[in-house]
Amino acid sequence: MLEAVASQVVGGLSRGMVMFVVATGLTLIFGSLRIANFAHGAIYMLGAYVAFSVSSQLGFGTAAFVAALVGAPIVVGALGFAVERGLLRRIAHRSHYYQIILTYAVALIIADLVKMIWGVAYLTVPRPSFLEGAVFLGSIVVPVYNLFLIAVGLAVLAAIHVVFNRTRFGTLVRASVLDGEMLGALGTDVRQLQSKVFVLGCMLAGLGGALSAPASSVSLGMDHAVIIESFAVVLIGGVGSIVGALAGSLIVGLAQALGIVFAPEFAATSVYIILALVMLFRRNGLFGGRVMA
Amino acid sequence: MTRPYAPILACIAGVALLAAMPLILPATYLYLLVGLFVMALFASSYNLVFGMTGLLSFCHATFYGAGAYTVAIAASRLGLPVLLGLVLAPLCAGVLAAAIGWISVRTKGIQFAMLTLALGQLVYTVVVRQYRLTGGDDGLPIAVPDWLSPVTTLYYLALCVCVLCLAGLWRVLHSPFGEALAAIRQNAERARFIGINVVAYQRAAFVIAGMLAGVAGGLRGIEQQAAYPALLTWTQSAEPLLMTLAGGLTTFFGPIIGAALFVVLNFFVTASFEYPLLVFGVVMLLIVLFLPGGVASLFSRVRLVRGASET
Amino acid sequence: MTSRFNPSRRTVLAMGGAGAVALASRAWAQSKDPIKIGIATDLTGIAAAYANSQINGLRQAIDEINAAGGLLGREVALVVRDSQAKPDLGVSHARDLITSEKVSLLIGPVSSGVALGISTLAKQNKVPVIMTAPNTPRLAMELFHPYFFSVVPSGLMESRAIAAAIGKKARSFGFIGADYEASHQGLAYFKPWLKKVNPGAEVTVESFPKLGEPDHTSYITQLMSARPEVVFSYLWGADLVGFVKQAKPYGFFDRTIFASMFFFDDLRALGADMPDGIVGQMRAPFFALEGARMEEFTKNYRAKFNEYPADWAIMSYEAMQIFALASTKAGTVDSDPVVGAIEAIQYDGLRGQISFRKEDHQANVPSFIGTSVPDPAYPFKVFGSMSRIPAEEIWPSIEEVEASRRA
Repeated sequence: MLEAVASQVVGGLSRGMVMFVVATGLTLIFGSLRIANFAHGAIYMLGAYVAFSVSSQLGFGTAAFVAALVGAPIVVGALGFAVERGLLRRIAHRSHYYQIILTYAVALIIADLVKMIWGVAYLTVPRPSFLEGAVFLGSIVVPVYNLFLIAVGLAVLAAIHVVFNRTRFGTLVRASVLDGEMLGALGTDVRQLQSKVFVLGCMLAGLGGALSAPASSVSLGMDHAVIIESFAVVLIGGVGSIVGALAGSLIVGLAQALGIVFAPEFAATSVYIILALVMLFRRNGLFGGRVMA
Repeated sequence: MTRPYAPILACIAGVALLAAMPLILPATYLYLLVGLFVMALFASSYNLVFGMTGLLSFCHATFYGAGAYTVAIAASRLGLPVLLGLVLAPLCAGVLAAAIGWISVRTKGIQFAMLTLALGQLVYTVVVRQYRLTGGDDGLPIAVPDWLSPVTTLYYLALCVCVLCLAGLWRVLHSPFGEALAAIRQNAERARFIGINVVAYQRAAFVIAGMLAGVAGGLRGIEQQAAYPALLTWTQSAEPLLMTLAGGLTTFFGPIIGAALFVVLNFFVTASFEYPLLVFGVVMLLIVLFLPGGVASLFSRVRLVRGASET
Repeated sequence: MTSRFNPSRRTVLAMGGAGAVALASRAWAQSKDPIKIGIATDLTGIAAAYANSQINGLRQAIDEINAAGGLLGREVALVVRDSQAKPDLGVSHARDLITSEKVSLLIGPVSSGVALGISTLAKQNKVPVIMTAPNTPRLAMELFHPYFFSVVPSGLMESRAIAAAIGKKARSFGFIGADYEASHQGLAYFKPWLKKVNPGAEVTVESFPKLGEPDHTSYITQLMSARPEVVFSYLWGADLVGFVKQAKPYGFFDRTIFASMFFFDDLRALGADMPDGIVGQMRAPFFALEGARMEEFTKNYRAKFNEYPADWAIMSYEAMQIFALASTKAGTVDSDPVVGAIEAIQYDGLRGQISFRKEDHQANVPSFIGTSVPDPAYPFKVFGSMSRIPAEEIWPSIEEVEASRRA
């Protein structure tokens, strides 16, 4: 029993870490720009497909894998930049509901562009050889790739911590989440800042997609699989809060993993149950109102 | 005093024109119009909670689907006539809306949206799992009686029901109740200060909207000859939201225009294009960029909601 | 091997358009309009690859028929609509195909939900519909009507086939399937047959991840904790591919025999990542079908569409040929005579001799089961030494069919 639980915990952690990378992007965009970015799932999917292309063009080896992890965020970041400058900016002054439609429209367009470029067949990206196989922690089997995902998640967390606590950019972003108007009044070009946040958010989604590609498959429909859970995690953790995104991701990841052992009927719906409870009893999310702990 | 009569005459003319359609249009377009009426009612009912009261609900499809399933369960499992099922549909949807509204309308804004999303998905999961009752994810067929089979009969049923419901909705919006809702949407704090029990009004609006969505769902079930779980998903809930926004928030005809746009566009785009999502997305993008206020703003002289303004 | 910019799809649409234009001009020249075949299928969404294959298979058949002089002297045209896995859109389009386009035959979509709606329409409008992808047993059982035909083995048949193939191998079985009705039904049909084949066997662990689950790790560990000797999987598509990739490092496939439905699309996606020794069940594996006709078909298909034919393409091709053969025998494309002709048909197809059972219009198609091995001829693995489990062994008895309709 303990073994089963321990295995599940490790699985839940690695799943949570990928969710964290994606959710952080979403929560930043939500917090700083106050936009519910419905294109986030599509961008994640695009990241996975770009990772496939980069990887396959370079022969699917280790170098290819690294190149994909770097290339995917860059490509989707560029797209995010174009979307923000070309589209979101034009309606920035309008009600946030229109931004929802806009991001939703962008999501549809991206989905069909992916179909146009890569076709309908689903694809796979093989894991690089140094990340294949598993290690044994006692009698528990842990795939190396899952450990890698946990490591990358922690690295992203550390990088974000540094950026948001030690750099001017980070301080400004935190300020924009807490009170964007005041920040503008203090002389900062909030629009420029928000542009950068949007691009950063998209890059994180793309990175999430690139990380997932070798872990499962790359297919149309990936966008839908991710979008609702990402929003749930962001709201559970608290909009704009990175530590919240981490907490939310881990809770959701572990709840599902442990749910399978203890309450299989509810495992798949655990995210909705948690979301409902948090919305009812802690409406700002677990860490709402704070960007970093 | 001719001004107030002009819009009413226009409406009557419009309905008369629609009533004449079975004489002109082939069956396919009649079915398309039935779908349009259903979505127009669905989107308009959504506008009651969203545009009028300011509640961004993500579970409206739950009541829509509940309406369809009421008709289906009444017909398949209880052997009741389909029309009786259609009468029961808003009642069941209303009860569900009362329950969900009671839980949710203590939160607001994005929390309300996410809470309704979560609750809606939970209802969906329950429905999909109860195979015995609901047919699971295959759905539940509705055996439509012979007299209702011809498309013309179905068309007139849908037209009458929708016109009646929309007229009723119009009455509600132009009553003191509707004005209270408008006050709440504009500034809930102020409304509370002048003595309006904001939560009670919001819950009432939620239930009325849910009931109307239930009627729309019941009609949809009859038209489709089945109830199925896809009617209950969050993507289905997103549709009236998008229709309302595209058509024109807070205007009475906005959601109807938005519904018409979506239904017709969707049909023709999926009939002719290899990349329907792309076309659809681009159209929506153009609307958002170039038609602030939605398509209804093209007819901006037709301001039919007293005291409503763009937020 | 991805197929980009699938030209055939555009040619289909162009042909539809050209057909309309041709219709107008031909009306003057000769009064012979094309026979239209309609398909509303899920070209958008997770099943897009399968829907695309359906259309390719139909296209192939139609090209051959037209090249040989058409059907009953008339050209055959394909009208394609996208139902996007939404039942209401599917029904809308199917109605349009029937009433406006006046199709003589409908081919079913991929998803069962849409298929049910379309089957109902076919019944009411008395248009034959042949299912080449969805296989919920309800279509042939409770919801049967004379205009319905299926060339896919039903979910019931497939569960029984697998039970027959692997039932004796072990005593403890695990099950994994996405949490939707088809999986629960699949398991429900599997269990009694398993008992029949091997009274001492039982299913000791059941996993139901959500449909579209990207990360199956928790379910993998759940299955492995219970240590079943065989795991029967109802996963498919991206879920199955993801599961296989995630389970490998756990040594899952060394510790348990994994038996699952596979589509060709899955084999192609996995490539070398597909483990050996997996028991696979397929509907129409091109590499295991023999005969000169099959070789010819594969060669032409590859030349035209730049990919190997998936199960869907083969089954759709056969459906079209069956219709053509039946119409020719009946001398007309009118529904009732065609239905009668299909009922009586003996079609020499790619999967073998096909005929339909009168009671449920289920084609007596076999289930193919084999074990995965590499094959130097292809960039993907195949299932070797595939055995055919004949339909007659596994399909529901007439009593069972009638009982389901009485309920």
